[in-house]
Amino acid sequence: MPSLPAGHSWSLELRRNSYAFLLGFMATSFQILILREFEASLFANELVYGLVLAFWLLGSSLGSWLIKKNISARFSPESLYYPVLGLAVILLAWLRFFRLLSGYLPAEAAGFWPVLLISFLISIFLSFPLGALFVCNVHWLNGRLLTVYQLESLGSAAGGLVVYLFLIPYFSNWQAATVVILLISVTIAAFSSSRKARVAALPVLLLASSLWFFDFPAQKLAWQPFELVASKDSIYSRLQVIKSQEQFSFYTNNLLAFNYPDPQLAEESVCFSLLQRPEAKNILLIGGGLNGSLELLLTYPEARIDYVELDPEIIKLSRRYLPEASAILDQARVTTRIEDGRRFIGQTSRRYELIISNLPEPSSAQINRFYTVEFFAVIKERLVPGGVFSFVVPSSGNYISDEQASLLATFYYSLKSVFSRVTVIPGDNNIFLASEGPVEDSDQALSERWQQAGLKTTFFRPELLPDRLSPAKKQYLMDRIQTVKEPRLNHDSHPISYFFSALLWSKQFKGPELKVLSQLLKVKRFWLFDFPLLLVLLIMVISSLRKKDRLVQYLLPLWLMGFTTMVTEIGLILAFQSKLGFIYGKISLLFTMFMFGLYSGSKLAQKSPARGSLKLLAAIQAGFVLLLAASQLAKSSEIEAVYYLLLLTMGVLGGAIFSVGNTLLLNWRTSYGLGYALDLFGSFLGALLASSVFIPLLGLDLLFLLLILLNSFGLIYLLVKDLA
Amino acid sequence: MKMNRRNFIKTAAAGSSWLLTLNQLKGVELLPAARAAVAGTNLSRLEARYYDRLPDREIKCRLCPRFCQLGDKERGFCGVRENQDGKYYTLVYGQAASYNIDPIEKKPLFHFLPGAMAFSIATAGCNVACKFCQNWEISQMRPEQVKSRHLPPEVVAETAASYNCPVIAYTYSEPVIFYEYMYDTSLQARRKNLRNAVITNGFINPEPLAELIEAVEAIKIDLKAFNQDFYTNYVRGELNPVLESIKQIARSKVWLEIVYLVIPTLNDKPEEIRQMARWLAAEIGPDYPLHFSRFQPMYLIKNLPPTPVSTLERLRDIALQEGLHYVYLGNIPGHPGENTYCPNCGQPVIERYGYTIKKINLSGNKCRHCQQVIPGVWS
Repeated sequence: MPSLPAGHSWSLELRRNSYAFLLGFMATSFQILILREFEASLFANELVYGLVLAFWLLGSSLGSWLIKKNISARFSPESLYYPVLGLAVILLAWLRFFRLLSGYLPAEAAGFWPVLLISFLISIFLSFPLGALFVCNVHWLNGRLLTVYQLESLGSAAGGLVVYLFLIPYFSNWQAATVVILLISVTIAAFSSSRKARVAALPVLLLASSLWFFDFPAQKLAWQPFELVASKDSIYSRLQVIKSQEQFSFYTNNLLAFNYPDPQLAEESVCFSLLQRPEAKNILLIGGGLNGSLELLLTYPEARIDYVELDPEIIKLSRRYLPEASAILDQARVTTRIEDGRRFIGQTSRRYELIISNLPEPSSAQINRFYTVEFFAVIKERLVPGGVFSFVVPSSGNYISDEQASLLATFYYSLKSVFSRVTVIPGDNNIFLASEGPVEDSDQALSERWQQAGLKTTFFRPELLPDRLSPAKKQYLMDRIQTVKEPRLNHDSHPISYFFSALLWSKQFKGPELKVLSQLLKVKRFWLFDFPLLLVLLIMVISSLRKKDRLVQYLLPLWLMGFTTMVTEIGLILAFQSKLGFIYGKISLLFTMFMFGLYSGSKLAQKSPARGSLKLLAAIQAGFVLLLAASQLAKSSEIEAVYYLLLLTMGVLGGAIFSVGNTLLLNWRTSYGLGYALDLFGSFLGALLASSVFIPLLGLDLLFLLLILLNSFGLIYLLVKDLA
Repeated sequence: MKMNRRNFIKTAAAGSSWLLTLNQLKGVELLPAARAAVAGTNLSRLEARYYDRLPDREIKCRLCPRFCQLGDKERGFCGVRENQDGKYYTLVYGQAASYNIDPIEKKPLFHFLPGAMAFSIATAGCNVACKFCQNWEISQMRPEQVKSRHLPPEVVAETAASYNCPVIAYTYSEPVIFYEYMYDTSLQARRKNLRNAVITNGFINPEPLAELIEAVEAIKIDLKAFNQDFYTNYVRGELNPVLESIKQIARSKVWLEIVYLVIPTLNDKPEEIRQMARWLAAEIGPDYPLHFSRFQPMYLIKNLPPTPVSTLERLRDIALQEGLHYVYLGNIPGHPGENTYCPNCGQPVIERYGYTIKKINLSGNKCRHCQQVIPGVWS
């Protein structure tokens, strides 16, 4: 080990330990920032999230598995850490200019394969060296793998907290990356004994500072030939404003949020529902009020509107660029509430004649929460008797494909399971109207109401309604919806809409991914539930019969732990968001609890006198089964503390399994990276499959049952092995 | 013919039951060509026109300027014409993926039977790949990937007539790629005194176009831009053949209108529009309508901003300055640019709101105010 000579002073110990801590800090910080940059630069649905996270874990896994022992002997920590920091800068820049370099227009849908390739390359390029550095740290600390694991977990928890709580709320992604690189470089330089190593920090810092100073110019360049006038990375997304002549277009994460002026969409989303209850006095508008929808609602002199918007930054930007339009927010009849719409609707005691959801289509699990049976049921409770609920989804007026029909059928039947009357308006946008009272969709009646109300509209007018609402078009739409075979309901615990949305998205690119997703939809439960169980069971039975098979004996629990913790983490966060709403700081706290649990569990197990025994491993595994059973019951809880406790306990058990499993493995064979690689490989599979396949196709109930059974098999296997 | 609101509602209401009626129409005697089409369920198999046989069972398609040269079992760029053992087949004859009753103004055709309802059909497939296609779920798909209904030409004509649609429109995807189906349907339509309107990108070779011109009454061409780069990057097509088609149609008796979808920053440069307007005035004269349509984000570029109204107004002014008589703005209901103005007295001769005719001040084909002849097919 060239740069860390043996010694026992406190400062030397701190220096040696700091690299493992910094590794965790660096890995988690970059993972968060790269994922956010992915969301901001490319279209990110659940499939893409899963891929980026999965490739990241795969890269780390491969890095820790394939690293050559002599690398850590030949290089000092500085000479390996600085290039990784520099690499992060280059990859962040590459991600931003990916569209420009690949010939795509800004905001153009890039397609599945380019997204797959870029997510693979960027994740692997960065996570591979990070995985390798884990093993290097073990070598630098003379084989103290568990110490490295604990410090890395602690560093991860710290990185998560710093990035989520102190950087993202105040800085853009690129600026946050600059701060992270600065912190790490300065720490390394401070601990370094050689002057050369300190000087080496300068080019890295110079490179990182370019992220800080060229953030906005780089965005402007990436938006060419359009004119980007403002950009703000809020805690939720990247908000950008494009100006074209008199028109402003607001983007969230590269997706068009709204244009101003845009009377067409405003009228689409408001008029059909407004004219159902012209006497409405209390109206709730969830999202999308600044495109003119609020103005339109206020044309009713007696209407009082609660407007719920998640992101305060979008209102700040609107006030800056659309001062006249956003002045409407100051009117006495409008109450703006900055919070998650799902949380608001769950907590409010108010009752409304009209509730209009003006949110994007459910392309991710996050948005899917606003299209579920459970959400519709709460909406119904918040409506006065006979009140109307409506939302708009993009569709097609001329032809409705099977994929589109499946998505529409999911909305229709989910609404129908809650409301006795559901009507769908045909056209390039479909407007869903649901109520316990009458719902009007004839052009004559709506035209008369329009005249009585004296609405000043452009697109919603008696001249245009007969074509839009022709009986033939309504009939065609309902035929397509009602002839969908085995339509599925969209539940919080079984969210299927975003899968259909991904199917429709993939169809645009005419690649094999459409076939894969279509086939997955047809896959019988056996292949998603019974088959993985049988496969793991078979491996366990074969391993049990081979008495000397220690490799599987030690590695399988680690793989299973990696897989289980990742899937459970995703499932619990999804359940948390459905029950309690998306609350920025709390999601990061959930993540930190888990990482802190990993550290504590590993530390506790390391101190246990039985740390090298299979019995302890089996006991922890038993704890895992119990925890999963508790999670199965608690995932519909509305008590926040339950989720923190579950994730903390899961972290503790995961850390303990890592600790004991690796102790057993290292007692048998000195292979520092293998156990870590298997843990990460399990996490890779979990990340890849959990939100994109298992959750939409199996649902959370079956998924947790699958995990309980898998881990029960793991427990029995360990007990059998122990007896043998 | 004026379509008032009462007629409109009546026609639209009638459309609600037409699916049922189509079943009854199955008893209509089919033409030999249509029988061949019935043989397949989702795919028809009728020998295509305009192709050359080459050695080794290869063929060369001559329908559009792509001139696809295909080996056995290969399909053309359009995805709906296939070489089977050295013989070229259309797979979409009689296979309507979309069928609707639309106002003719929706196509848009403003000087062709204003207020008429058009029975509109389309099959899967297209010979270009626009990133902004409104109907990509049919145009960019193979026939196996779309839900089609078997509607042979005579059934289409019969149905259109039974719902008082004086026009059959070949639209939504690209009718050039279902040439045989369109051609035979137009002949059937004429037998029932119906007219035919083709809504096309104009990417077709002169020979098939010449034959088509003899069978239809109106053609609307989507001119996507006035530069080849745009055609290369966003359309995957060629500009020159489209311009040649425009000239060829203008020389014929068929009524021609041109639509230019204005996509902000991509094809809205004033100088380019000026050049296009000059070219149109010089090559086909000032009397063929030119429509500037507002882009509503679609398909692969559905996250781009829509066209600002002021951009469209500026481009309209440029085209008028260059001498074109009839320049319209589309997808902005209620805008004065939707109306037809007499180029002589400047008075509105047709007032529109969206797809609806509000007022017609025509006497025959002349302006009621000054007797100026307004070109078009008015009755």
